[in-house]
Amino acid sequence: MITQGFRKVSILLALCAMVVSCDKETSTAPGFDRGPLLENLGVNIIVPAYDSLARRAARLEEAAIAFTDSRTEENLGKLRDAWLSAYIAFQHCGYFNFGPADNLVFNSSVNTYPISKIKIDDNISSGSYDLNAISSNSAKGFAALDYLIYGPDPDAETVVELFESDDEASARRQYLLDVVEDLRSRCNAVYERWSPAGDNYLGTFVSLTGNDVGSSTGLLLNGAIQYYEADVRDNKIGKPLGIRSLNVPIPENCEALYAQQSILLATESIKGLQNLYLGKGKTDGVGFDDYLTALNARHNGDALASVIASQIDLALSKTAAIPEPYSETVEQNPDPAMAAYQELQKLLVLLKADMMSALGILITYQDNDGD
Amino acid sequence: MTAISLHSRLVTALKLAWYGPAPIAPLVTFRIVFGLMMAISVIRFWANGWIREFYIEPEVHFTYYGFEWVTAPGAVGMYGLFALMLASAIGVMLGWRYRLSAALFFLSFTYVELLDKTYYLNHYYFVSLVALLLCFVPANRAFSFDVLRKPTLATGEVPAWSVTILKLQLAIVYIYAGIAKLNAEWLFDAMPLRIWLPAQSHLPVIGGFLSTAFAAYAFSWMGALYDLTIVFFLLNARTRPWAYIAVIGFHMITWMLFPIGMFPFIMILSTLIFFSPAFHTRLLEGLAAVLRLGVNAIPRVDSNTIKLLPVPRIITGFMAVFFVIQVLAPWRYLLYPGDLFWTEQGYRFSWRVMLMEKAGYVVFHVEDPDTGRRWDVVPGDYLTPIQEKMMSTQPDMILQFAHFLEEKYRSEGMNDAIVRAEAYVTLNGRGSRLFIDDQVDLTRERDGFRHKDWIVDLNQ
Repeated sequence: MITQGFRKVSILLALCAMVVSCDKETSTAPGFDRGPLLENLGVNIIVPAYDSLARRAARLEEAAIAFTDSRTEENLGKLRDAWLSAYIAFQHCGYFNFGPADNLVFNSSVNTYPISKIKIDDNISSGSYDLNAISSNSAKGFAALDYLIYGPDPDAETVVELFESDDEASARRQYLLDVVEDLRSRCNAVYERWSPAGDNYLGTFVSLTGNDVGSSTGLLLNGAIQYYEADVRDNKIGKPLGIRSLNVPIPENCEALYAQQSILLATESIKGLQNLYLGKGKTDGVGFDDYLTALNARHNGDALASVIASQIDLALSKTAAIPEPYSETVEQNPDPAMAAYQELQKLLVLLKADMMSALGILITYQDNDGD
Repeated sequence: MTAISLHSRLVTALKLAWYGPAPIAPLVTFRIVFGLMMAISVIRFWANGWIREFYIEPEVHFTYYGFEWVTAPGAVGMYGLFALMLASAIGVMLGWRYRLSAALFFLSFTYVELLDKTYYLNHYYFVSLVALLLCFVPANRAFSFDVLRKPTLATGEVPAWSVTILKLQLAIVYIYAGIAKLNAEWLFDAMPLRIWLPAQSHLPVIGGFLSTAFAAYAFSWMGALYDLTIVFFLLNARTRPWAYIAVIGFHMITWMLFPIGMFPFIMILSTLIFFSPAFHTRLLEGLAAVLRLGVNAIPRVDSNTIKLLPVPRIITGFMAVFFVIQVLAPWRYLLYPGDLFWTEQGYRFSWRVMLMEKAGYVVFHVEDPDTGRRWDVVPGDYLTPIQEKMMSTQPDMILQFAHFLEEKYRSEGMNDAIVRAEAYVTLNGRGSRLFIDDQVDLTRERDGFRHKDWIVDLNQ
């Protein structure tokens, strides 16, 4: 009897709560289905991004073979274009640092920089190297190719000379081919893992609709935000600027140092984040902005979804405004870079604190009794 | 007349609850289920790799104020500590060298909890308190290995205080958890459940319902009501069976919805203490039958005699202090200015469970006053993700990390590094905002119980 009374009282109280709160803009938060979000992210963004990377890496290999067969400045130009095109494609893939990319240690095996010039030169001279070893990460990948086809002196004639008539020209050609082959096969492998025609991680990805660490939303966001923080904000912009090194700039830490394309690549990378956030691939589909809108997440009076979208725009334009070559900018004219860094930082707060909090995504498996 | 008789009846009841005799059965059940749950918890913790992840791998630990001397003893030491914890939990369960087991369990468990406040959970605090109480009670004097070893220990009757303190401890947990929910955000904004429940929209059947505002309000109000009243319904014999169904239902729902670990099971089994001695006697006799032990596992007592037993003053005095501290501690936040959830001054050790969704980001700006150079330190370089997450929303931890950096640079020859924190925090769906005064050199600030005036006001 008392229990019945208890239940009645509880229901009554719950109803009171509803009435009390009716004047607020609570209404009902419509349920958001993460299924279509994951489907769009997987089908429309992630798999096409890896597909594009794999194709461009294949063309890079063709260009490298053509150049080593016939060492002309024209073929070098084509090789450089193919390299940049593949490197740009990679900028859109770095965020998917979970699942296949995590298992294959993909990111660090194709884009570790700064590279070790000594290691690369040694590898060429000795002709004995194992590109599969983790220790080889700083002697291969996009950054090693940057050094091989643009450096040390970017003058095309000088580079062609190194591959044509230098004492080690033939070893250098072989090393170029090996590095390109390693890169292409890795890009292909990660695509195969995702592809429905291959291992179909896409199917797994779309099916894990929970909100815990092991769910696709959890894996993707934890991986992407970590990548944004460490690889985009720090590695691409902050570290060369000396933000982390007693304010002493480290120009040699720039991405694409020899090609002097650091800012182009950083900008592409932020575009990749933008696409992921907005759910934009070949078509504009369901993204995290829609998710936040469905949850009616707010940020000091504004819609969190649009606050983040605007901050991405701002971070993008400030980054694009940094003068190239970045390796000179960090020493001679750091202010625009510092301004961009500040906006990247603000974006990180919005992503890591506000967005993750609003979405209720967990970051560890640890027991939790609510902060 | 009635007032006097009511008064004297109350006094008699209170006296009996402390000095009276009580059948030992409830205490024995409690000892067994608590020891068992603790043993399972330790094994689960170990199997999840958390000993390594939480206590061996991290380079830095966030100790509690006043307990800086508690340090992680290295890999071998940590595993040894957990092995001791496991063995002593089993000792408690079996009633084998019971007092020693209980004391060792309390010490090893509490030592580990004191290592790093990153992992503070109210239920760990609960376990420490209960483990301490178990050191005092004669829970081994029936159905135990100690009795097998020394049959003269066997008794069917224990002083009532030994059961009462466990009920009191549970009452404090529930009632304070309920009081903590009586705040505007919980009741009128249904926060943080309005954030947490929709995140479960993928669950079959109830997923859609959980996404509604109604669900968040219903859960918030029911939760508060449950916490505030459940103890009274458990104390009353007539309502007890229904109340216990509510206990199971409530904790199972929280277990399904939130990553709350062993806590629901610990509470479901601990609240058995409220059941009658007859219930526990039957339970233990059933257990004895299953285990093919003697039928006289629990000595019978004549429950009709009303008498008062001598209780050592030191016990009564200790328990009085122990519980008065617990009753007062949750109110200490009133001594601090500012919003409790925002500053977290007086937040811990107060049964504030599932009350807020808080997340933040902090970066440290370091300056060498000799050269004027300034640079950033990202905590992720030194902390695990969970440490970084916990630190980014808790001022005392931010301060500790600033001091850690000061020491690190001092050891590198930089004598007086200035460390400032730029921190942003979002609380219960408010947008992120500045958390710590980013002009303050934290190396000049000391931790302590004084108000931390370098926390930016929530509504500034």
